[in-house]
Amino acid sequence: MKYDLSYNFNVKTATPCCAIIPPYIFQHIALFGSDRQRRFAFLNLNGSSELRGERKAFLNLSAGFAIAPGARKRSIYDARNGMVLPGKLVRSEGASPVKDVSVNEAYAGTGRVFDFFSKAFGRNSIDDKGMQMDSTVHYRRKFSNAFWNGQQMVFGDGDGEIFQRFTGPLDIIAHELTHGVTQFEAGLQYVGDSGALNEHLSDVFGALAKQYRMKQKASNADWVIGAGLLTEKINGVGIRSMKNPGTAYDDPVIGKDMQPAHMDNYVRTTEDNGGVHINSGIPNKAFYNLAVSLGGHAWIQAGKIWYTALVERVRSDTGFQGFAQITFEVAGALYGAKSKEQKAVTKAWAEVGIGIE
Amino acid sequence: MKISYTRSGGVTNIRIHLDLDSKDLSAQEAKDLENLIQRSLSGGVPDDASVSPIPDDLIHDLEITENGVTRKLRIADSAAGHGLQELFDFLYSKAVQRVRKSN
Repeated sequence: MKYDLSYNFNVKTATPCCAIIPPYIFQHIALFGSDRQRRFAFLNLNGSSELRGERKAFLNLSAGFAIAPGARKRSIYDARNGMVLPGKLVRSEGASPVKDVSVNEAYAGTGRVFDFFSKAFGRNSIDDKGMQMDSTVHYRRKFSNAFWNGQQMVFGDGDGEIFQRFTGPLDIIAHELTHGVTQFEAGLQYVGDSGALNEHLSDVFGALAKQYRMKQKASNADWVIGAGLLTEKINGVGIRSMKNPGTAYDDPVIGKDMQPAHMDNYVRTTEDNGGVHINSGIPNKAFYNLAVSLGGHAWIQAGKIWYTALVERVRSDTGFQGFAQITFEVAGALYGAKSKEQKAVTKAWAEVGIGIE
Repeated sequence: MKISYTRSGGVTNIRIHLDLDSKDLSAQEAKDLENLIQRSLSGGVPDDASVSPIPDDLIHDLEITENGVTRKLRIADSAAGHGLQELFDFLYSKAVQRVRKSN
């Protein structure tokens, strides 16, 4: 089911009015609105107060009415190098660390991603309803991949020659968990442009979860996905670069990163589900452009625009052009028509060859 | 028997390729490979499983040439049965061994 971004405000009109809504109205909604309305109000109060340097005051104010954070519910399973999922339960919520580093990495990483979504966007787990977060480690033997299978995350150990443990980089865990978020919010088809958008969103929230954890501003972050995943034998900094798509690796064994950064270099292919991991470089670059242009912590403004677009407007067949338009409209709704934020969105997309009408 | 294998897709979408001639394997490995192929392909494979709805699923491309006959297969990892997955894991490990040797 899709919800109207505007709630009670007609933001689909040419002159969105959210920018002039006084905080007390959002506070009222946060107290008495539906879950969705309260979350939207929470986002607005949280974001605007952070921007004004009033976070502490807001936290005090919000204590009485903000959405109670959901509780983490993590379960880590061990496939014991087999092919059967989920495997044996080896660590559940609240249990002490075990000797197995992969188990502990999956447990800690999932918790950090949960916290990121909760604190930055008021989201309660993968489905926003407190869903149990299941992960399996040691899937198959030297399995060099991680994926979301529609119900849980699965992590391989890596082969040790090209790839290290897939539980190592926090952004890989966040990338996979975000596939779950996208599944519940938009059901983006995993093929062609909508598939590349699906991949893009996982990269965005993967990068933001890492930056949130490291308290990095957009200008200080590396914007590399999977830093630390490749072994030192491979010439590469990670598996993708959002700052400079197509430059993450260039190595005799694994070849060269082939992500484009502009629509002029869009790759038409039947491989990779129609280039879902390839053409995602284009919106990745647009998001990077926006985040750096707006400055500060990227999850506060750029991330908020993208998150709101995902949960409120993206549909299963949304492509690049449609998503660019949505982010433009969401920026207008959140910050005002012709605001600097909305203009920055237009510019960020234009720089990758996607115009907004 | 000659095998051409490419693994792509996955969260990394890094292509790993292997060309293999069973003559280059030890007798035991060649036999293991033949058994794996026999076991994984004898039950048939899905007709159209080259596009996967599973995010970050791996895609496998396999060509087996024997006695002048070439069989081609492109399949998503999630659509492959355990037998095929074992075969792909074997071929991937061979590709990685080559990496090790080349380094």
